Amino acid sequence: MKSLLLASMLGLSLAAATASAAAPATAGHAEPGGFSVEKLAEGVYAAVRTDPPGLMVDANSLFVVNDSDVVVVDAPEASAEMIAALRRITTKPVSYLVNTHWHDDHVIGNAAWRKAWPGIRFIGHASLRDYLPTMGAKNREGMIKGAPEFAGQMQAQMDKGKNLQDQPISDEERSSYASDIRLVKHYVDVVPGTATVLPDIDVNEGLTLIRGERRIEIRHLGSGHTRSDLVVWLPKERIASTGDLVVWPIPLVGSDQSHVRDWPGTLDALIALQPALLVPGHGPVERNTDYARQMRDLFASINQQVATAVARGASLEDTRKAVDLDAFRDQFAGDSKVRRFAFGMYVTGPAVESAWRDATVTP
Amino acid sequence: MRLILLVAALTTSVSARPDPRAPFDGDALRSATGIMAFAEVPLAPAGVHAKFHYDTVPVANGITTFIEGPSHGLVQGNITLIVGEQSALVIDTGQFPAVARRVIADMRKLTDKPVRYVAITHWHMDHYMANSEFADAWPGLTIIAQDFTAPMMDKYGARYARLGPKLEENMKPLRDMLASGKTPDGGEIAPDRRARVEAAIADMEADRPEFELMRYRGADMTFENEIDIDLGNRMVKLMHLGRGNTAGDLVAYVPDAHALITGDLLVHPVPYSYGSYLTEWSVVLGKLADLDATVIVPGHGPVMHDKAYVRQVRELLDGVVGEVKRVWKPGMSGDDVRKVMDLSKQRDAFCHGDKSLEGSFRASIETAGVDRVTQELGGNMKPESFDESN
Repeated sequence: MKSLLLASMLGLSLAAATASAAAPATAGHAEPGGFSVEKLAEGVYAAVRTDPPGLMVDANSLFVVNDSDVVVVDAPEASAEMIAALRRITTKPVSYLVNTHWHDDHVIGNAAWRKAWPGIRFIGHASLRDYLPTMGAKNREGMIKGAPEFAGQMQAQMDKGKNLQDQPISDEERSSYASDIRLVKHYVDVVPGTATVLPDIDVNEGLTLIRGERRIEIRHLGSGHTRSDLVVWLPKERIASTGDLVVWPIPLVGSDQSHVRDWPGTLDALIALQPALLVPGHGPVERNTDYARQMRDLFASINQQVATAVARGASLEDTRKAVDLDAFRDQFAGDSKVRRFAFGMYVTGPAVESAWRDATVTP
Repeated sequence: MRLILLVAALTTSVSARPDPRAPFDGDALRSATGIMAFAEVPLAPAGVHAKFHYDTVPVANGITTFIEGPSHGLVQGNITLIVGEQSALVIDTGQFPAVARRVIADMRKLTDKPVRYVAITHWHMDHYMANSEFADAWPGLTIIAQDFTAPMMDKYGARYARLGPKLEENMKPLRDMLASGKTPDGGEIAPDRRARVEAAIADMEADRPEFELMRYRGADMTFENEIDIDLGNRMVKLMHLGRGNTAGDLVAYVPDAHALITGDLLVHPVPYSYGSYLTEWSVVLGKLADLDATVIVPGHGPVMHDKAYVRQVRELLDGVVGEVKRVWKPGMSGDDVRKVMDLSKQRDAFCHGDKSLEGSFRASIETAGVDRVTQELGGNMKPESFDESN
């Protein structure tokens, strides 16, 4: 339980875990740095993490190679490796990088991208400017302080043949913990001392980039994972890069950072685009919107159950007891111990709290 | 298109409607970019336009506007430089490439920060035909326009850049007038009129090389309502506050300097209202008046240090809309309205009896503007265009 509490303190950055079996299948070719690059359309490449699901994550990225420049979505911790991978694809310069929100695994690489291409301009939601130096800085401080200790505990548990709940460790958990420990080490190598780079261009509803015949729409479809969520939409290619509005295999919810009340509507707006391909913030490229709908239904159910509880004046603790997510837990996590554990940590706990807070603060 | 208006103005009469038999683009005469030519500004010293005089006017700390001098021919909108600690942004690029090169050289003397953004206030060609010069000077810069504006620029800007060879045919009515000594309606040409026509021909001849240099360059980035640019310890808000002079007007607001750059939502001394939306325009000016601005740069005309002109233009728009509403009955055309309306009070307020300003006012406000209000009342608002009558 001590480990679980620590993970909770670390909050979002220690993402939804679950060590299910192997790494997600990917159609791309592996790159050094823990991701593979998959071509989605002419000039459009997803850099998709290959770590097994775990408590630590780094983010996916998207490269859109145009006639004379490149537009990139998100700046993960592995940005140095991603820059190298992009340079193997093209010699064209990166003109714009979109930060889908302000969490470190999506923005910490900004400094590296700017160093590689000084003319780059960063695009973010207007609220990112407020969140990154405040809540973002607090998250980072917590991670830098707590993550190595947490990794040490994981290593100690593994050495004892135990999982975080002090039960005998499974192969799935062992593989997941090992990945988490690697990611923590990488985080500690990359993040401390790295300059925060705020956007050059703030959007509210969005903007459109015109690159030759290509159109790249950057849109705020609503809040969900954070207030600052942006989706990058290629209307001709019908490809959506979603940031953490969509995270596989377990959604990533922060009790004080996410807005579960708004999340279903935002996912509805995403689904309404009718994307052919979805590049989630974490997880493999999705070829339909089934998983996005599954997330939408999960959050809609949480909101509905919370509303019922709030209507009779339930406290947060009473609401937690009243909300029943067992069927969703089965749907998302199956019988994977790691995913079930993560579902409890990253959905049941924070999502109910987020929905309860929004339901009680605003009539 | 300004050119056509000029020719029409000089060959018919100061107060006449534009000549519907214009040699190209037909009713383009009534559209936006030409109106300044009606001003028939007092004669400037010879050769002024050949060098295209502009004034470099400090607006606020780190903000400078390059304001066109008097012209008898084509004009260009004001160009404004906004400098932050990391980079700079330019509002509009004018229409003359060679002039833009001089402006760019002057900007480099004012700052060593790179211009990384250009924002275009609207799609009329006197505001962006020198985009290529700026893009060459600062490679990789981002050209920004409102969603409506970008495709209109693509449509008209590319065509405009190819107009050079047509200049001569557009000067022909003027040359004929001088050769015959007669105005097109057969009257004797007065000496002062002759001097203005000669000056206009000289200016157009000076403009001709500019057309040879023009290369169209469109937008890289568009937005609907607002994006904000961080130039390094200085935010610039690029906003579209509703339809007004065009359906895609962009204004730039610099909160730390209390500075507002309006594009042709404000034009001094006589507003342009070609293809405009007068009722909504008044609402937009109300929003501008609500901003905490102590210095205002119009699309054409001098830098202003209070909101008096914003209010004056708003009153004008309200007055025109009110007068047309007063006299209009279903089925009435703009011409029908003009027979019974009275905008003399508004005309006097802007023109003070100045004949050339009155020519501008009649064309822009009493003709084009009244036509637009009439369309609005009749529920048949035509799309903005240089291809058909507005």
